[in-house]
Amino acid sequence: MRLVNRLAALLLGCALLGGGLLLIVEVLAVALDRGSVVVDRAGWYRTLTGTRLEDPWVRTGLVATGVAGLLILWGQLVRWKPDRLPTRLADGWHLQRRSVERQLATAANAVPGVESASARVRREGFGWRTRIRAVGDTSVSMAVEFTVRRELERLGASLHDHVGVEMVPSGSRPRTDVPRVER
Amino acid sequence: MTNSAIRVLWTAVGLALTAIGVVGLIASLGHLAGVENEAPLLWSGLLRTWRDLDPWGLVILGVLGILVAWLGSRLLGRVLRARRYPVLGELDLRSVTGQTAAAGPALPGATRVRGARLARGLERDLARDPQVRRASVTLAGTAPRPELWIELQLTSRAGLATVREHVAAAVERFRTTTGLVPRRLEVTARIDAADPVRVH
Repeated sequence: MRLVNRLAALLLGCALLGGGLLLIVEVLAVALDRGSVVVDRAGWYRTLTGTRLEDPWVRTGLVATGVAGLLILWGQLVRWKPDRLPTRLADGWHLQRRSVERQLATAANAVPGVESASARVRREGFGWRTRIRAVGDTSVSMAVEFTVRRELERLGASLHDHVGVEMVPSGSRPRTDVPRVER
Repeated sequence: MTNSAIRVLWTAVGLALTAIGVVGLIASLGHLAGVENEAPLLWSGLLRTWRDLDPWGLVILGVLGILVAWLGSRLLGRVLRARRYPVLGELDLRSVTGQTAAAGPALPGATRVRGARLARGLERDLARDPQVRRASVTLAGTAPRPELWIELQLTSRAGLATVREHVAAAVERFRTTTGLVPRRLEVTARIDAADPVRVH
């Protein structure tokens, strides 16, 4: 989302710059009594004086604008995945979230009886909230949680942070939207 | 421009577009007082105002064009400037040697060190630990209130406690040699994958 925002801001900057320059050029053309440079002024005048506010395509355009605005608002106000997670090692120390998830998935994957594992870590207050999804028998769930907690401790997370382990019987595939490590 | 500043910008754009859509739709349905939904988009009142303003209408439009183009170029410039934080440019050593220099007779000349050179030195110091694969340092702020932003790339088996000690020692050496006392230290560590694994 951060990258999309940055690229969209670049596009917005280009659009504003282009639009402003176009406006200046057209104003100069009118002032010097020249014909249209880029915009067909007479055509636009005819269209805008001939179209009424209640026309269906004007209404469609307004609805589309409103929907686009709501989508943009939703995209900005929804909680984003954190880039980095604070660790308790020392003040000002952080760990990159994706690397932590990969590390935890690798650790869970090393537990005997686990075919593949995925990890998801989010911030929760000052701590972390970890969710592990592993393919394997439910009996190894305790071993997975123990290993993950040991790894979390090594990474500077608190012992009291939430760790949820979900075992998926082999045959059904785990979710694909989180980093997953397979043997 | 920081990510949060861009987020605020787009929140404002989203609000503006939503407001235009909602108010426009209400007007288009004929429920907005004072707006005739059967009137053309360029209504006669606006055209009359435009003719009355002549030739100032053109001047206003021209100024508006300059303003929009300036805003666009400013936005482009700020987004393209990749640095998130101001970097300490040139450090005048008199600002850190402080009192001793001021008390003695004023000597001609000044010694200046580039902030980026000092940061490179700290990077090399940090990377001496085999657990640190790569270090990247940004020296921000001003000479009296410098800030250190450190990004570390660690090996998968790195012990974070020992790395922290190594970083603390390196920062202490930096403090002793440069005379700069970091007011803020931000460290972001990335742990590299142990061996080639498939990550989806």
